[in-house]
Amino acid sequence: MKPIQTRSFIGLIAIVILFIVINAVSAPIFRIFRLDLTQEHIYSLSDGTKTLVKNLAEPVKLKYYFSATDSNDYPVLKNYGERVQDLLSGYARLSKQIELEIVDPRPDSEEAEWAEKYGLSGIQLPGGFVLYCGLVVANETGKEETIAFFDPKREEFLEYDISRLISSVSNPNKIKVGIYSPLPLEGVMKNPYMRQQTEGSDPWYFLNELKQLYDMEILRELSPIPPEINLLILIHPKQLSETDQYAVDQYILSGKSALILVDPFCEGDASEGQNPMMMGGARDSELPPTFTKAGIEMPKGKIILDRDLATQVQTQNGEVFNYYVWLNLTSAQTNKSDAITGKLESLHIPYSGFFMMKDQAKKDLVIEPLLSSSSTASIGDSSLLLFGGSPERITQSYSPGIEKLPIAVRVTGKLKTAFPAGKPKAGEKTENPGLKEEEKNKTQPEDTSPHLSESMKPVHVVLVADVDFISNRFSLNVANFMGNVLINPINDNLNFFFNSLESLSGSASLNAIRSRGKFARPFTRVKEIEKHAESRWLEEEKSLNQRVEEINTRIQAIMQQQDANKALTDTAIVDELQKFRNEKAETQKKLRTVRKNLRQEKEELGTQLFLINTFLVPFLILLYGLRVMILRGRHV
Amino acid sequence: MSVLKAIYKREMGSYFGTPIAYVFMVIFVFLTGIFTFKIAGFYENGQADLRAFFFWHPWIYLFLAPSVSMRLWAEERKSGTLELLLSLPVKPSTAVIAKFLAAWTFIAVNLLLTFPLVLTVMYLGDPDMGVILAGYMGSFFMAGAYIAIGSSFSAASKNQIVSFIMTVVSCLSLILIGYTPFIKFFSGVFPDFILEQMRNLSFIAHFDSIQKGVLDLRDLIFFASLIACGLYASLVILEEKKSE
Repeated sequence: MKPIQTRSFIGLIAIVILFIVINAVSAPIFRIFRLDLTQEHIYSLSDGTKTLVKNLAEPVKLKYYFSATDSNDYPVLKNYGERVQDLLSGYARLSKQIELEIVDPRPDSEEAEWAEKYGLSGIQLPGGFVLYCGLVVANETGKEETIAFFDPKREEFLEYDISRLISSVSNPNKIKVGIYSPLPLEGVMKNPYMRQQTEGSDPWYFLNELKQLYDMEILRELSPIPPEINLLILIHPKQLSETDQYAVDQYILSGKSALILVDPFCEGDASEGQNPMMMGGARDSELPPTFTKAGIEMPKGKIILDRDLATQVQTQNGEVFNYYVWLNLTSAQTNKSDAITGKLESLHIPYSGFFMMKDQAKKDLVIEPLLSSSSTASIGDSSLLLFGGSPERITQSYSPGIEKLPIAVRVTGKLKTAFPAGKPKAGEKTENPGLKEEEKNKTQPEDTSPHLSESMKPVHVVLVADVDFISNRFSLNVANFMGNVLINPINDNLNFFFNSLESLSGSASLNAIRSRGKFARPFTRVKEIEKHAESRWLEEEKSLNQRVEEINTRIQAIMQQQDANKALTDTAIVDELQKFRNEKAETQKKLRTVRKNLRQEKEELGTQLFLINTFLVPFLILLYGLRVMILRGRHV
Repeated sequence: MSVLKAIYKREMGSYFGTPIAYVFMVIFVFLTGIFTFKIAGFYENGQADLRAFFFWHPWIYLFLAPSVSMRLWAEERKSGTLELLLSLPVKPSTAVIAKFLAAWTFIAVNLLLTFPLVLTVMYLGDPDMGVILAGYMGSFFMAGAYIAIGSSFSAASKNQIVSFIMTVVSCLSLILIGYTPFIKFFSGVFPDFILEQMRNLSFIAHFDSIQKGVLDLRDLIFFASLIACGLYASLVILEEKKSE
């Protein structure tokens, strides 16, 4: 008997060991076999990321600093931190080129010091401790980029943010940006000899930032566009010659990105000799024909009038009016699922145009609105802005519209050339006012690239129907403090501009990463109940609160009288005081009832659902069981 | 196959033939309701998911699964029918699998009876049904693993209480082994590699992952291997008892 027992014992031990071995071995082998059952596939990486990661030429190291141990008391951060970790593990699973290191920086540890050195930020705890949840992405040559803190509010863009960093570290060459504009972006010196142009103008601030972020070149002319440019910015392209239009056409069809800002009325366009108060067609610019031919247009001389987004303006006389042509966009007018506009909250767009898309354009291209007007905007003539744009005239010509007008759009897809006959014969070139004499005389190399009749790769362009929004006046507050110039953004205008560039400069795979679904799925029914209760009771609560305030004021007034008289002898006053006190108690009682009512419906539903799930269902099971037992008893 | 079916049917009959089965179901649904609503604050959280419900499953099974599994073999041995069963031309492995499947089905029925909770969450909001489905699958696999472990202890002991306690202790170890405070406690004693392996053997780690909505092959291998090992252990013990 004994030998059998020993054998069984050995057998059982072997089973336990087998179990441990199977799981130890399967962990690294089967890590890529997983099925994401979530509706929006929130645990799966998008195709864009997969392409990006699989094409990595050299190893990339991801160092994820997450205070897993110390964040137990902060469930939101803890959950989100784990979610980020899951996603990062997904990256590491995709390719051996990605090495993921997870660091749990404890207070006063070497890891925490490193996190600080990397510039990661986090939640400050009492005692100077910091809860970290940030990422350092580094390549082999030591180039590093960081996400200082994973903000749970940016959850939809989590994958985009991480992929963008990996893409940026693995493609260390700076993007070459070419910018063309007839506007004096670099500023105009004050000319003491000319009477008309007395003011001069400051350089547009966004240029400074552009120089820091990208390898920027100001293009004096458009034909040809230097081949090394891979992101073209056209600001207010007006009256472009055919040759220039052709150059832009061929550039776009080559699949390189472009950001094009056009305007039916550009305030900053005060060309030499032009009366700034007079403006007709001279202050507008137009979309390159490549787009108009494809069916995307910005109606000439038409601007948006929007009562719901109007800016309140005060005149020098102190008069306040709503200016329907200066639009204040909030997050309600931005595309929340696009990485460019997803987190923008306030934009100020003056004298904005809009885009119209023909059915053909909608069929051939993917056109996503990024910014739009409110749904009650109407269309006005830019001639309304003549002689300073009288607010009365503008207000009078407004009549509520019925649909949102797109102000900025992202265009992707296939385009055809606007020059089917090929390169137009060399005609007069558009003269750029900023061009210096020696540059004018410089001969440009002849463009020998073959003619493209349609786009080689999907095009990727962002079009905006306004230019002034990036001017200093509408985007910044410049203050002079003790001799230092302090520049503060006053809205998200420049964020929109730079987000667009960032998105356009990303690889195609990066742009394929759409914003992701959110974890949060609130109880919509409960929210409805709360809303309903609020609409029913909030008004009453407000009026009761007001009544209590009034009574308090009355009581206070009587008490002050009493103080003055020292002794309260007048019975009439005593009675009145008592009356008010009684009324106050009564009102407060009513208020309590109203507040209870506000919560009641919601709480009642909770209780009902609890009772159904916890008592009613077991009770029904019990009844069924009894029935079965009784029937069986009878049968027996 | 027909033998397996016959034993399975006999077992199912014995579950639903007694009032205890219904009492068990009542307790299961009642307890999950209390835990979900009152302890995990399902309604107050305001989120249309069943995380508050599934969170407690490893702990609810800790006591309910052993009370199902403890009688798998212990009862047969106590009443002397085990010898009879094993003397029939039935392969012990068939008997082990049939009994396990019956017990697993019984737990599955219990799990299905919590469907009003799914209706509740659908009524309240727009839940991710994929995540809920994954949660149920994870819970079902985990229940199978508990039952398989319980089956081996039931085979090993004539006493149902001993079998119950041994199962609870074993399953509790498999929960705690991946529990963060527990891992932290051992972090100075064992190297990281061992700690990682310990975590990898825990119910919590694997159930959590499935419950989030991701069916990972490694999690399925974990539960399947645990079920297979539990059943094989039952077989080894039964073979030994048979030869006694």
